[in-house]
Amino acid sequence: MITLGQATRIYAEMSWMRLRRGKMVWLCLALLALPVVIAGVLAAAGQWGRGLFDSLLEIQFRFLIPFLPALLASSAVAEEIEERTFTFLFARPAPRPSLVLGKYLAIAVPLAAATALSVALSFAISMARFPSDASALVPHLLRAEAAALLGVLAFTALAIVIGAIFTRHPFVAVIGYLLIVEAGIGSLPILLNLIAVSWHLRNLAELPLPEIAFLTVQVPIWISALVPAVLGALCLGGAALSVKNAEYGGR
Amino acid sequence: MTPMIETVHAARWYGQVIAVSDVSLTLGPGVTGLLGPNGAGKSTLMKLMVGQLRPSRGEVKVLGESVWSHREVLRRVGYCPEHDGTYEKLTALEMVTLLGRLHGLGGGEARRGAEAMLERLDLAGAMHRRLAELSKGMRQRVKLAQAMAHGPDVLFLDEPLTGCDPLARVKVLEVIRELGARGACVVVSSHVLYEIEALTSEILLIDKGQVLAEGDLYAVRELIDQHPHKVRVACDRPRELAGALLPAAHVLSIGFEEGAIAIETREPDRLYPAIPEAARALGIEIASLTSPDNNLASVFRYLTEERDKPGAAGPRRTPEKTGGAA
Repeated sequence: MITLGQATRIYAEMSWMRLRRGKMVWLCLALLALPVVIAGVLAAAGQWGRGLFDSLLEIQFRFLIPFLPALLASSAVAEEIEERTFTFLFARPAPRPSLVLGKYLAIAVPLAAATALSVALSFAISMARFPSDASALVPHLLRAEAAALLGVLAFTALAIVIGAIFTRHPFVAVIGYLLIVEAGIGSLPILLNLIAVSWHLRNLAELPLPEIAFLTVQVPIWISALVPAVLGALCLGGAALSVKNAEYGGR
Repeated sequence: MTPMIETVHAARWYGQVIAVSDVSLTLGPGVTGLLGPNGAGKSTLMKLMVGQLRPSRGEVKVLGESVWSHREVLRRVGYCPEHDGTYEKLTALEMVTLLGRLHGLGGGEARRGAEAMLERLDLAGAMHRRLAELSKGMRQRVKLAQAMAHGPDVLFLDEPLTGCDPLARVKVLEVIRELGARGACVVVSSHVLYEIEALTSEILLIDKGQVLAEGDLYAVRELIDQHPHKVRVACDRPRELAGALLPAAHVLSIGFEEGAIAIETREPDRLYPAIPEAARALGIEIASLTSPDNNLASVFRYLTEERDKPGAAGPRRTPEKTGGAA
């Protein structure tokens, strides 16, 4: 009997084959190249060092890290429902949750790798003129990389679970979440912003946080690392559970 | 012996809409045609049988087990859905191979099975092309290949001939018949009567979510005891033959056609021997004897009309299946 791991691997392979033959993955790669290009342009214009690198991280953490998983993962489950190809899949003995896990791997792993590369290249270009300063900023780079990876993993899981629930308009639903919770609540100068993944990612990456006017809150970085990790795992589990019990063949 | 498929008072509804209503049936090896007009509930019944939907009430068992999420059962099941959706970015071979692997086959075994089945369905030249580039009929055969490549014991084919050209139809029918002859339980749905007629005489007639009749075509014919059975006799002296047959109690009416008479009876078993007897006694030469009611169209039309009559009883069934069905 096919195991969860075997089925996950097959689904991942299948999803990646479809993904790399589509346009979306190339669009995402082009968008991830954008900070590197901007870094090159600004470096040529005379901007260097941590200031430039942090400006590039702003592009990553404000836009690319939340938005690219939405582009790639929001319709991961929904496209099977809309195109009714799930009927081929659920007539098989493969465990249903493997569909979610396989798609997650097919999207999150390459996206995380490409994001990590984009951050690393941005850093390299920002530090190219004064390489001696770069070593002092390596811990900052590592924290930014860790935050970027956690961000991609968590936002991909979020996009998958939201897309699995709102199968009619998955992308709109994910963008709605990003605007309301991440961009909206996450930027508010109140304690409520702690529910936003992006707040914790910024904390982890040592980027400026929204000011909390009447409370001084220091959130340890291990908590900020734990929040996206746990949230991502919960979302993935939720999506797997939703697909496991769902009946999509109805009228 | 455990039936391969068994439903016990199975029903499925969506809100106020009843898609399948109180269906009890058993099916064994061989090909069974699931017939009904569009919207009759064929696809819903099939989705219940293949475990894609849970019954709102009752039970649906395949190979003796409740089919919903039963992986051991699904391992022995094949399903070709009705819809046209496929993995457009994959090639035919990739799709069938990957789906075969999801059935638990190893990579090599799945690929060999996929190649063999695609070749069997005349897709050898198209298997390396992406599905988006294939015609509707070819994609339909790819869908069939993914349902059959792993050698299932129970096979559900929902409108399998949709989009197929005449040559492809012949090939598909041949493959389905072969599977049935090898002992697989094959359920084929269609709203096109002659498609089923060309495939099997074992039928399930379904409309508005209810099974109108089931069994061998002739058994179904017996079921329709209130329906006058029509027999057309072409002969050289039709009026004389009509005169000889009309007094018989089992003859309801006789109509005249050019060079023939059309006899209506509720007891065809008595009528059939009476015709040659009367002809022999009168020295009448019979050119042909046909029963237009022996085609599925007339049976289906009659049952649907009966069910829709005011005050008509519920669904009618043969007490047990005959022939290929259990």
